[in-house]
Amino acid sequence: MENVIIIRYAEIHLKGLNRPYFEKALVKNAAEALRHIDGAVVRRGESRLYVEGVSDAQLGQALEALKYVFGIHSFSPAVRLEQDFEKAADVLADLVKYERMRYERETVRFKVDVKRADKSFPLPSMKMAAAAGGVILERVGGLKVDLTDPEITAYIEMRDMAYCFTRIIKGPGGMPVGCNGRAALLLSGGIDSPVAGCMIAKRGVALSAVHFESFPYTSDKALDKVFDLARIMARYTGEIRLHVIRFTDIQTTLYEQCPPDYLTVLMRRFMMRIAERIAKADKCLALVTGESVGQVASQTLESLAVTNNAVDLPVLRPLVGMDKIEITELAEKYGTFKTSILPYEDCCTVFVPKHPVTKPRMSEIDKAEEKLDIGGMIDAAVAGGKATTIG
Amino acid sequence: MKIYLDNAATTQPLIDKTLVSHIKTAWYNPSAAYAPAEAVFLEMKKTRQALCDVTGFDGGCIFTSGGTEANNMAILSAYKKGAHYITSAIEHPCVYETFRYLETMGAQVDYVRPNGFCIEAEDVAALVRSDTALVSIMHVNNETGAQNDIHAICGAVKAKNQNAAFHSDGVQALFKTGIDLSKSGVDYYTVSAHKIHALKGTGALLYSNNKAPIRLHFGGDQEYALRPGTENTLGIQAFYEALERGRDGFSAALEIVNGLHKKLLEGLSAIDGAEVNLPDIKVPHIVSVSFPGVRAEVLVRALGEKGIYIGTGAACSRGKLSRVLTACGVGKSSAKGAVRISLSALNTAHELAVCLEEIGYEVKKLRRFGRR
Repeated sequence: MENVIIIRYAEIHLKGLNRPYFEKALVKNAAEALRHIDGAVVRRGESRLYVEGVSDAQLGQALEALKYVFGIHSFSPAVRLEQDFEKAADVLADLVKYERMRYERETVRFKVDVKRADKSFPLPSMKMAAAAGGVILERVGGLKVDLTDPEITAYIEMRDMAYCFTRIIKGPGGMPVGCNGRAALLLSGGIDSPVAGCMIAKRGVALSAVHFESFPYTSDKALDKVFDLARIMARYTGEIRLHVIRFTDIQTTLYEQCPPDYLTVLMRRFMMRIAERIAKADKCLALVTGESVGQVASQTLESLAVTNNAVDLPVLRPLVGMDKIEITELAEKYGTFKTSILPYEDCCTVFVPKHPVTKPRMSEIDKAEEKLDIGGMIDAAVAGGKATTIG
Repeated sequence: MKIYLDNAATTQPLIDKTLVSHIKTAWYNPSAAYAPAEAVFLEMKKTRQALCDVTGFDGGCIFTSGGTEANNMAILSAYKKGAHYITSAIEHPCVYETFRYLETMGAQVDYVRPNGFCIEAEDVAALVRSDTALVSIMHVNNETGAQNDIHAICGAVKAKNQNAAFHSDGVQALFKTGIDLSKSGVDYYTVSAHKIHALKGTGALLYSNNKAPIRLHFGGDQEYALRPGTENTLGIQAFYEALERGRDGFSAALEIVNGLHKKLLEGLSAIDGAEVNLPDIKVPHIVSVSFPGVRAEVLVRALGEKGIYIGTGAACSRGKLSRVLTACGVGKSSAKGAVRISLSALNTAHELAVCLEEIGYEVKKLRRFGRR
């Protein structure tokens, strides 16, 4: 008899012949998340993973760590023992007794749920459930069977071994990070872009990130906030390669040489070009932004169109159809919100024109950019960049 | 090259003697009963005496974690339910916010506005009532260098209400101006060590013998049980070294800073659009200057990248429009563009010349990139 954690996957079972590839990625990521748990080992089982070797003292810590691993649908701390029904019923009674202590009421509703993955086991599921229920009722006081609306559900699964548990904890869902390639996130210090990064990572994509600072208009504290955001995201996304680009010279050049109402759109186009350059060097297959249609002048469909055609890589915008409330809720869920709203300048707010164009025309942009040494400006910005691995 | 011109924020510690003696012999717990520990205890007593000597204060002295704690302690010591208090609109946040807190506890607080940059005795006296428990007016303002005549203010307060206690925050005054509290009637006076080339984490509250402060912490009987916790002996020993140095070098240092101050004002007047926020009565160590159309923190960072360190108004209120400058009638655009240059006798005329040149250059550059 030993304690294990059962991990159920989210979507990996859909992936046919690629399944072992996805499973291996999840094993690796779960093991990485549990690296601080002494003796924890993650193994593949049939359509699930098992974590073995976790001590009682570190169980809570291990369960907490698994909440951040994309690809996990749910997980359960369980007791594994040989296929002996009587022993299993006994173990289950202990688990129910423990759960029962959380309720101060006189009677608590419960049921037993039996799964027989190993159909060779002689007792049919219904009979096993009834028999286990009997044992539990005998051993634990203050219980009443309720099959439709139970407060405690006691599970027995008969597989190669028997598994008993009472808790199913929701995982973050999605797919294991790293199994769907890599993308480069344009990461500001705001609310949206960290959420966009987490959402793409949830689809199994590893992240590089590009941040633009405008020293001396932005401070080292503002930059430190971006590192903090990356660290928070990294709990979900795993390691992030964060590139910091000093953008001030490009901003001042544009300020002096271009029409004021086009300033923001032109800056966005430069950011995209620089991000694409970095993305290709990091072997990223797409760019990711936190844009959502119509949120600000630079995110109208017209503006998105002209921002988009500065680059060749596909641009993923996971927040494109969301409003600020929905995005904020996700930021709270991913834990980035409180850091995002710390009041430091970010580079987008520094050179904002009073009346930014909302329907930019490509002809105007071409005219403005004709005068500029675009390649030279990008080269200089990229050459001055600094990269750090976070997480 | 590093040019440090933010001495009102903190000063470079000059405590070599203390560091060596502390590590070798003076590190014992002063509450212990053996000789080396008692020697440390007696060292602390020497620092207390030195503080009273340099300020001319006759009374008690307890060490705190700094100016903030000493100011909090003085103000809260005079707390009576529903009583009346007077302070000024230009106090440091650690005074101002303590009164804001007392207001939430039901106290009535009047905030005297400055006439120009200074607080006038008659304006304070006009607000004194029979139920006024405490008046707190800072000695030297940390953002503008304005010096208040606390003798006159305290005298005017006591003339109207003998029972009202008087506190002054002297954190920016010590060694910046001559202090003689001997006949002033001041009941509480706050000083801080790191503003006079000693260490952060050390301050003191001087209090008159009939006005012992209340305790804000609970524990052992250190500092007459008013401020329990093992004493910050390194900080207190360093405070002593700085007090001796400050006392011995006071006139010479003041002369140096006066000369630098004059040069600084001349240099600033040559910069296009510079507005010096110049109080009538002031210490020479602090100069507040506004560059309308420039954001102060951007200018500070641009200079910082070149190794020139100046302040944005008060180091404690980054990003917000200065409450103090606003109360002094400085307009919004000027307050946004206000930086603080604060001097010590370690600075040189050459440093100022470099700083002024760079300010002129950066201000001109930054003005080109206003929002349009």
